[in-house]
Amino acid sequence: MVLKAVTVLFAVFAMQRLVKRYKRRQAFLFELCFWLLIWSGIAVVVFVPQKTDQFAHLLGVGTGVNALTFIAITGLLYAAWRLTARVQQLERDLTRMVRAQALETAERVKAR
Amino acid sequence: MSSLCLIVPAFNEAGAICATLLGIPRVIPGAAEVTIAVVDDGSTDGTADLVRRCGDERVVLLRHAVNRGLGGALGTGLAYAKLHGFDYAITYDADGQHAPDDIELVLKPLANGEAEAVIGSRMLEGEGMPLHRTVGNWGLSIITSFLFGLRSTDSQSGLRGFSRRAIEGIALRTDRMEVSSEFIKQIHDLDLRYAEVPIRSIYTGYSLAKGQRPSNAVSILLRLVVHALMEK
Repeated sequence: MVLKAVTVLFAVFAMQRLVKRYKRRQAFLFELCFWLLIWSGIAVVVFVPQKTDQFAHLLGVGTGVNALTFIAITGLLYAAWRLTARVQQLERDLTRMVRAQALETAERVKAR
Repeated sequence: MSSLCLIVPAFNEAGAICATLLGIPRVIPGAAEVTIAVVDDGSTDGTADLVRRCGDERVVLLRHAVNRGLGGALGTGLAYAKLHGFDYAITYDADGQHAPDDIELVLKPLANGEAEAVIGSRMLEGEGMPLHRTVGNWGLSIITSFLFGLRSTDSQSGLRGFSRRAIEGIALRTDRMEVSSEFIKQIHDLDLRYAEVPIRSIYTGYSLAKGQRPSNAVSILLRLVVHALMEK
């Protein structure tokens, strides 16, 4: 019961943050819908975990919990890879900008 | 009239930059014209002001608005050398760990046309290097050789020399400490004629504190693996 309560509370907290971000125009409507779907799904599934077994059979995995764990890990790994690639690209872009500025403002030191 | 660009990457080197710049010989055999390109990598300790105060007319100051790491700073120095058509470029640490006379040793194979990329190896004579550094360098050099197919006794050395072909061909993609291993990869990929010369290292409390820590080896390895995977 504790796990269910904590999960629901966390899902509500996450959805509240999402809505706030959307209202502040820090997130797109697509992002809002996607994450609201994920968090509300988690909040529902924690009460009826047996419902996920049908979904697991479709995937050929034993139980719904196993299927969700498998999907979650795969999704997280993919997200981590995408984020790493994105951060690397941003780092390269930043270096290019900083370098261009340094070359443009190069200053010859005056003789002592 | 051969021209040499001495690239000095500096990040918060207020404690050593003046001594390093003042120690660079006025005359370097093999180079008729010398420019010292100090790349201030977003220092917050007044390194740039000290460069202006201690440097002579050979010094050019390139300032990074924010810290980009050793690879970022060396890339800027090489871009400067390429932009101004220098015949040779030598990278030289700002923390005072290199013996100024060794610049000539690194330049010699380039000027003689024997090599297009030269690394000053601290391992060939191996004197004075603390044991943990020796082990760390040895391990990273073996792994770098394994990953990139070019055997180097000191892949992490900060004293390296490049010919014009190398300056024009090398395009660094890494920004941090793993750049030392990336140089080995680029030398191999560009099929540059490679040589090593023995150099000395001057280890002081300052240079040991500023230099690589053993824990950096793990971080460098992880970054190399991530870069290798992302390149695919």
